[in-house]
Amino acid sequence: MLELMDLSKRYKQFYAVKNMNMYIEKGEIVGLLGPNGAGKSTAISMLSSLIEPTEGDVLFHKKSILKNPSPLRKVIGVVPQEIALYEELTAEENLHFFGRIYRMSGKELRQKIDDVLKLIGLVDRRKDVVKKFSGGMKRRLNIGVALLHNPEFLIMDEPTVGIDPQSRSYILETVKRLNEEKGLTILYTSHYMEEVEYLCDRIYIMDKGNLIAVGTKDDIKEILSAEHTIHVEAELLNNDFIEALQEEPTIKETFVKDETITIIVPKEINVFQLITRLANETKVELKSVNVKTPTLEDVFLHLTGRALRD
Amino acid sequence: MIWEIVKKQGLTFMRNPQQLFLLIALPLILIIILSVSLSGFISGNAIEIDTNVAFIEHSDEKMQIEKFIEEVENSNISEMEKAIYKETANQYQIVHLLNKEVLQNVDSAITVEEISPENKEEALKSDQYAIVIEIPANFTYDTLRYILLDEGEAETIILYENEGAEMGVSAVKGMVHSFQEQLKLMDIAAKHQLDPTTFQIVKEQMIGEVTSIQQSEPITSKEYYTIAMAVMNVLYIATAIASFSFLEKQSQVFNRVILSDVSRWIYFIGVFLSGTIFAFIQLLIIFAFSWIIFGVTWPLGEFFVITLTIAIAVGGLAVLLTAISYRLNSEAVINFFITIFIAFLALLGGSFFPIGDLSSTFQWIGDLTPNGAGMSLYLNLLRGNDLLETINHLFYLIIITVAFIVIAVISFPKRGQIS
Repeated sequence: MLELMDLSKRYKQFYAVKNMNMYIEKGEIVGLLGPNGAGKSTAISMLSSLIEPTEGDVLFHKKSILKNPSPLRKVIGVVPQEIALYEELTAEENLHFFGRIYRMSGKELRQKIDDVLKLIGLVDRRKDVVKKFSGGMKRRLNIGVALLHNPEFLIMDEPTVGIDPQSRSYILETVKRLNEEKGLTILYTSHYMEEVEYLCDRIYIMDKGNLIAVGTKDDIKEILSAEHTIHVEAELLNNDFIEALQEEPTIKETFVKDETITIIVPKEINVFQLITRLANETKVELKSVNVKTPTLEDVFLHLTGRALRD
Repeated sequence: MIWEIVKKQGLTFMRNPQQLFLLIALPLILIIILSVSLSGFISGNAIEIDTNVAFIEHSDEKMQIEKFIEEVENSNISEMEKAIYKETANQYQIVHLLNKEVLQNVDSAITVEEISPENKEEALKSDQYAIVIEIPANFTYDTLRYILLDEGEAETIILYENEGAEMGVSAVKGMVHSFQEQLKLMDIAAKHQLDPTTFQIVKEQMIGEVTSIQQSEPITSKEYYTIAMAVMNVLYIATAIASFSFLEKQSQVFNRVILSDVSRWIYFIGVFLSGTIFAFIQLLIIFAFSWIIFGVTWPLGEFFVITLTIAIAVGGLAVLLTAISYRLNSEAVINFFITIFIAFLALLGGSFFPIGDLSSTFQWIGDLTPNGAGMSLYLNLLRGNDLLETINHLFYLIIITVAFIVIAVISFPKRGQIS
């Protein structure tokens, strides 16, 4: 359906996106994962025809969109990371405005507005101005606007940033339902691993403008098949212990968050003995040591040496 | 689609009390404050305050006319000529015309006080009078003889100026000078033995000239500051529209519009029309307020032409600011306009005080600003002059509007360049 061919965007000497290759098939949910500043939004802007790539091409049904983006624009809906709504207008007025922009009118538009308001759960708030909405409600309306014209392909750029867990859950369920019931093709970008794990069939992981991993969830987790992810909790962590772990040559990655240390080690290493020894040497009292099934977060940590939300 | 953009802008304005206050209420408040506190700057009011005229007549005009008629009766000219001269002399009481018809009847702001010749020195010493007009003895008799019979010498009216009241002196001198011009016309007509009805024409010209002596209706401070605040504050419509547009870019609403496969030029036209329509509405509200509160009225046809032209210029400015802010991906240029440049334009254009009165160069520079050009157009109209007299300002506004739009089109980022 959509292909990105060696796509790059360069600003002077800085590559926001470099040699990106990607494809999206009809009916699938593809995740684009990466920390802030990874180049996800730039990639989305290029593939949705908003900005022109410095190099490469975007093919929609095998035809380049660079010269003629209209066929793509007619069938895509984009949910931007920002709340792209008019704060002074009501939910209904916003939907009406964007519906008119999409050349809808009369009964068709009114019906579609009703359908979308039901879908995003804002029927009761249709006459309220957006500035009175909570963050979650704004996000839902932001999605609703992108669905007004019955798109075949939905691009969602971090649609759950900064909202409460209930709204987040509502949005994730809605996305899942749109895909399953209406066959909507979705490109979902996020830096929340769990969202991508929950929603997506295939995943692209980006960092610093480059794709660093591609595949299904299982494919990507397979990257860590030869390694263990260990979570270590201690009573009182000290820097000597952390430094000891970081300097230990058999430990591949060490990541500290709150009172928990995550380490990635080859499976053949007797990790319990190693951790106990280092804890004794640095006078740290261990609370627990757990071996966990690797998550995408662990994969990202493994691939980049950084946490996804750094 | 363009209508939806304008409608959305209207709803946004309507629901933004702060913007409404700044764009509508503030100019109205400023008009009231400035028209009261700075009334001294406005020439119309200055004349009202300062111009007292002392009028000294050395001999009775009726007796002089009777003396002239008696002389005509006793002369050897034909009966027909005698009848004409007698009729003319009775009709043209020159001093009476100058005093009652020209000075006192022209403008209620000029107060004429008739002073006896004995009190002349006292009047000259007094600061109370802007000007002292002295009519020499036998002025009317001598003038009639000179004009109608071509005998004797032409007499001169003597003016004593008070240097401390320049504006009043200038106005009265202009009137007297013009009156003398009319007397010369009478003289020429008589010397060329024109048809007696020529005198009637001369009289009409005289009265007509009385109007032109005044040159134009005086502008009161209320009228002045209504115009001044209207043409200044209408520029804030352009910045408000441009700010909204830039916000649309930042919040990616503009991207949504582009992704709906609407041409960016449709959006561009929407911004232009929003600027034009809301500028027009703002001007109408301000002038309606001025009409209701101060009774400022306009010849409607010309008023609408000027108002629409200014509103279109504001629309052009709105797209220019939008295009530049999109190009620079920064609101700095809009903020510069809001905080500094509009005030600077307002100063040059005469919105705070009639800066053009300082020198013709200031007037010329002021007229180069869109608000200054608009102000000159409105003032000219309010003075009772024809729009054609200042049509160059109208053309200038149209030219700068076209320039704004052309620069905006060139600056507006092309497809795929807006990040």
